[in-house]
Amino acid sequence: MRRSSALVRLLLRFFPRDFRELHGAGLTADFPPPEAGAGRLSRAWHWTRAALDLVGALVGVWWDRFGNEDAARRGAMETRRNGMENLVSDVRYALRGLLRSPGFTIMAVLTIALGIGANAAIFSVVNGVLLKPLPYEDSDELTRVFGRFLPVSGFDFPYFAIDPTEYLDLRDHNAAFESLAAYTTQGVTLVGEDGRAERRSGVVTTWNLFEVLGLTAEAGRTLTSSDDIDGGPRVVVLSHALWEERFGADRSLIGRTVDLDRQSYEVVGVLPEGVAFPMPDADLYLPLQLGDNPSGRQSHYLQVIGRRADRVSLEAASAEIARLMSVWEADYPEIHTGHFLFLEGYKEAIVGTARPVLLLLLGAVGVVLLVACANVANLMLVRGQARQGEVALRRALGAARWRIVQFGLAESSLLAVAGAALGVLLARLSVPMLLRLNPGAVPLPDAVAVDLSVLAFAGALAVATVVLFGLLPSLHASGAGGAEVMREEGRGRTSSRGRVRARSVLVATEVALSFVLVLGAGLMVRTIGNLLAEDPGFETEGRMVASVSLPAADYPEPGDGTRFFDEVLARAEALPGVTAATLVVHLPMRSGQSVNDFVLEGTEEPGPGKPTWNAGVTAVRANYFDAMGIEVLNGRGFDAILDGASGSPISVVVTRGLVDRFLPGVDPLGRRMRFAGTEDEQWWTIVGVVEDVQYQSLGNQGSPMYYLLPEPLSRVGGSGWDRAGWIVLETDADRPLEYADPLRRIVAEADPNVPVTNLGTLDSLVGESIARQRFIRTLLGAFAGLALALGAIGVYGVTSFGVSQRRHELGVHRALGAESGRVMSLVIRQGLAPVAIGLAVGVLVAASTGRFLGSLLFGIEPSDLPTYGAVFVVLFSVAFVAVWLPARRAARLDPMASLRSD
Amino acid sequence: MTPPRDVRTLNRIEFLVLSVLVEGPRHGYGIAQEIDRRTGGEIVPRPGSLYRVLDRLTRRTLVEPTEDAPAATSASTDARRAYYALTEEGRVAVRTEAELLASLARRVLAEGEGHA
Repeated sequence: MRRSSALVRLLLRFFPRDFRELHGAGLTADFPPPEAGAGRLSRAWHWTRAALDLVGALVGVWWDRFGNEDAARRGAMETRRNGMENLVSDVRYALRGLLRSPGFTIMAVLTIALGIGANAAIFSVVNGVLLKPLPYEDSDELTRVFGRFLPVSGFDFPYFAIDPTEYLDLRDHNAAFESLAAYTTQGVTLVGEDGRAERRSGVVTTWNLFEVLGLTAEAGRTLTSSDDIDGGPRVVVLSHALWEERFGADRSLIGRTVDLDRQSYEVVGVLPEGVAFPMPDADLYLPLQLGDNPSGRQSHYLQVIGRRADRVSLEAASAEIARLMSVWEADYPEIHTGHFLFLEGYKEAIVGTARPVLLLLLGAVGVVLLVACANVANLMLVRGQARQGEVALRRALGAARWRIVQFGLAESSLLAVAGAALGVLLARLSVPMLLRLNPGAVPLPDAVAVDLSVLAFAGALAVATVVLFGLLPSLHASGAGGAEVMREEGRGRTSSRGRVRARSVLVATEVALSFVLVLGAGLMVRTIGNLLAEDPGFETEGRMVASVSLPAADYPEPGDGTRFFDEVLARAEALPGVTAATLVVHLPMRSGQSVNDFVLEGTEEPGPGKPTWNAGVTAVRANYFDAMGIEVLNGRGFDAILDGASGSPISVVVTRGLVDRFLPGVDPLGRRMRFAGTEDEQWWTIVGVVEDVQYQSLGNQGSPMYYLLPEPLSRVGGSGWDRAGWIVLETDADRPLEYADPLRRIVAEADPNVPVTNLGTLDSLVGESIARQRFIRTLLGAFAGLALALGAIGVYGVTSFGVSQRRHELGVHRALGAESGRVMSLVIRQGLAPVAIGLAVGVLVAASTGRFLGSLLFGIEPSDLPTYGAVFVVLFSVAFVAVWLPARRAARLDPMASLRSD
Repeated sequence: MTPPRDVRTLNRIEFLVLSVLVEGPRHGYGIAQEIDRRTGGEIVPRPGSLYRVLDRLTRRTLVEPTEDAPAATSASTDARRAYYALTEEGRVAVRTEAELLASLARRVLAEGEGHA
């Protein structure tokens, strides 16, 4: 009883005061208590019903008041209706009205659809990438562990892989994680029963990865601890996709063997569909078989992911790891000075860098919607003006102001609902295109879908647009005082002043918002231009690339790989149209860099606490610099004869950046260097300096480089340097991919078990390296174009309507002898006034929001004056045309005709 | 001051409330109980909806709050509660509606017999 009446008292506060005074006491007293001895459930039901009843009454009472406010002044017809009937009739009437003016309706619906559609599309990306949880059980407990090297360590890597000993140490000395798994990825060559060799993505992992991710096998089992021991069995777990594609989803495959890298592996299980860990194309999961103490903390190649224990926050876990790190630093100062592990939420690790981009786009697309709303509001005002007489008549006959507003809102709502429906359809069509636009620009593309939450978002936008574009015109329309308007209407001369002002404000708003968007797009266009103008340091034209990797089982000895590639490259070079064929282990803009410490002869060997020197190292064929068009600045490139003979001194070629950084002001030729920590090995002699190459992406050079031939590098750097790499064919073809099939044939003839993968061109690789910037540029450009078009329509509409409203006045001007030029300049001046204000506001807004774009720009400041100037000129020109067209019409008015038509 | 209103705009629940009040003033709970009794439990207005109707009828001056509680039963008198009574206008309205309904009802029933 007490609870019941507390509820009533609370809700009573929201009723009209006179209702409370008159009926409050009775209402409170009349709410029966729940039956004595009623269970919890039935008491809850009792209160729910009471609440529903009261809320219903609350809405009803207010509705009665508003619906009947001016009852006395309304005609008998309306008196007989209640609010709901009014609403239904309003909607019906509004629908008829909209169908009667299809031009207006189509224009308005299309504008809203474009606005809402663009927003729904971007939101579905934001939702899929940033908002939805990852498809793992309690996915917020998943945490990535990264290594970090601060400059004091001699390296500077904010994110780095982890050493096996570090992993084991971490796994065994913390309570923050329920479980921690380590894995690394590598290409695996799968040879089917048909003998077809295929390169697939493999994940070599500790057995508990599946436990960490909360995954169980769909068929068979996942890995177990007994698989994951040093010298353990050769077993493999397949992805669902590979199982279906290559093995026809055959369950009897479990227990049978497959040929991976020329070894037999027993298939023990298949994962459920849709697992995309750590990347969507991961197909083969093999046990890592680390053993107990496999390394000396210096071999960083593992990725680590863990599941935090229950109720351990990321912060708490980070604090615990930090404590462990101070122990490591004390125990191993020579390694863990400036080098430590840290945590990041798994989701954050995937999408973190995309967040600012997506939020920026969401903001931009929101601005497009505002412009669209301003435009529709403008159209509605025009329409409202045309109906002024009708509204005035209804007001004069006693219609309540509220009823007129309600009618206007019914019309807006219909437009918004139709626009939103069409917009969602547009989003559905455009989202797949959006994702295909620049592959790699958006992480987790599979999670992006136009789903229920997008639908709800579009619905909310529709409501917001009704308020934005519908309310103002409706209030305006309803405010039209009866007699005054009817008088005006009778003469059809001037448009009411408030309305003109409202429309000018809308136009100025559109211009200002468009300015901001066009400026953003302009800055991105300049950024892309600057990036593309960056010299990658190598020629891209006519170059086809493909990666080839030889299984260690078939090519065990150093030199085996070299012989294979010798044959393949020689035959490729003999193809007509191919001018050179070469090989590089780390292809620029594709494979990243392998950064190693080195020492220069005569300098101190790096030691504990002393900064080491490091740069990227890779193996190239002797003709690499020629074939890639990389300029030799000093000395010479490699020479197959001079540098190839065994026993001859090892030659190394370094980049200009390496010389600038480590040998400034010194003649580098003849200086000797080698990997740090290889005192017993031979020195390498620097024989040449080549131009820097943008290794990571356009605009991101990465570390300086030093190059060696494959064979010496595999001798000192460990095996493998001569077994894999990227073949680069320099051709004179317009479409270098023509050589894909010939190259595949050559490789297959050399060894049918070796697949050719990642076929592409250097041109497209360079383009893809700036996929994200291109993505932003394209979308901002599209949004800016949309806003500009809508803005132009807005300016045109206002001016042209102004002209038609003032035909009479302009006609008098002309009749009294004003020249057509003067009439024209009058119209243009008045039309451009709100544009000028809009541009001024736009400049201010852009200046204060430019920083959001700052970090995405390249080679240009957000406040770049030439871009401001250009955008200003573009907007002004568009606005001028939009004003000039109606002005010309005004100037051509036949004075007599326009006076007669009155 | 009050302009004439169209008296035929009574919906069912409004009519029921007015018809109960024909017999004398009652408080809200009493009205609900009486409607419950008369309709054989078919219609039991919840307090919220009942008071919304009373509010509407009051604003249309068909009903007014009254000070004099009837001496009907001591159980149903309660000092804290407002009592509602018919105004003259309300009396006319419910009578007019009742006559309309009666004539309509007679025709329906006659029709039914005709076909029987």
